[in-house]
Amino acid sequence: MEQNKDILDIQAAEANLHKKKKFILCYHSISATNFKRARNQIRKIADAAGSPISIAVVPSIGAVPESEADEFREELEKFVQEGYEIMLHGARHRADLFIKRNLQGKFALWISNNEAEFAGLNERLTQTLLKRSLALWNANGTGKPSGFIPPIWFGNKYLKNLALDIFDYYEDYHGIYQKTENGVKKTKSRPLSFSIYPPAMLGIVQTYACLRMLLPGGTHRLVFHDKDFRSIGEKRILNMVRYISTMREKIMYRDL
Amino acid sequence: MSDWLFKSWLKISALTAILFFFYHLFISQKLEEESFSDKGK
Repeated sequence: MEQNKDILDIQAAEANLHKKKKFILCYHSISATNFKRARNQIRKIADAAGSPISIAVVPSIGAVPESEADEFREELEKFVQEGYEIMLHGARHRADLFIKRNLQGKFALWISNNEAEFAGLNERLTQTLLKRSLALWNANGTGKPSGFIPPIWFGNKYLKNLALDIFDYYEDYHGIYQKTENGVKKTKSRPLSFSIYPPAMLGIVQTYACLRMLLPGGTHRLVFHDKDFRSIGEKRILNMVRYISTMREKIMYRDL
Repeated sequence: MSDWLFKSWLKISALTAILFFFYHLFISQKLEEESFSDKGK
């Protein structure tokens, strides 16, 4: 009996220690074209983590039939009601190639397969696209998203301030930015994502992600995409979520 | 001095690579475990 108490004390102390380290679990790029697969994947990840997670939504409906668009809207509403946190993830997650961009932006498009839609835009175009993104969300979603995540984390020098004028949170590759009364608070955080890596590197990248979560420092973001369920596999993804949940406490952006 | 620094860097790099390799083996096994998957359910 005494021994059991000791074990419980040790477990409680370990749990307390782990809670000091936090991570954000986010599913990226749910859209009207992939939501039927994505909704099941999101719920499985949330089930493995033990609570709802953050979801980065691409609000554009595109050319899907109206019945599917309605189903997508219902699904988003359901997620909001179930306590999932919504982040806005660009407007179309696809760059308009006819818009003028600086050299950095063109390079970002080249390495991102034209997905970095905000990269290298000027202030006026950034604001227009940001407003379009929000208008698309207002047309298809419910409530206000917590924050904004630029596709592939490629933004431009105007995007952070413009996004924080509208949303509470903004993130880029280096960290998460939060609007506060005294200005902008930065939380050091790295995105740990798998979708851009070739299959041969995925094992090493998963080990790196787990190691990064094991070591102290930062509130890192563990990010999954629809593609990961085919490349990494569901079992490994859910095991990774469970393993990391034993080392760090899962939070949402709004808990920062 | 530079020789000592280089040798130390080499040793630390090799040790880090070995530790990472063993951690990689551990993680690979952990992520494939059936029993680990079932724990959360």
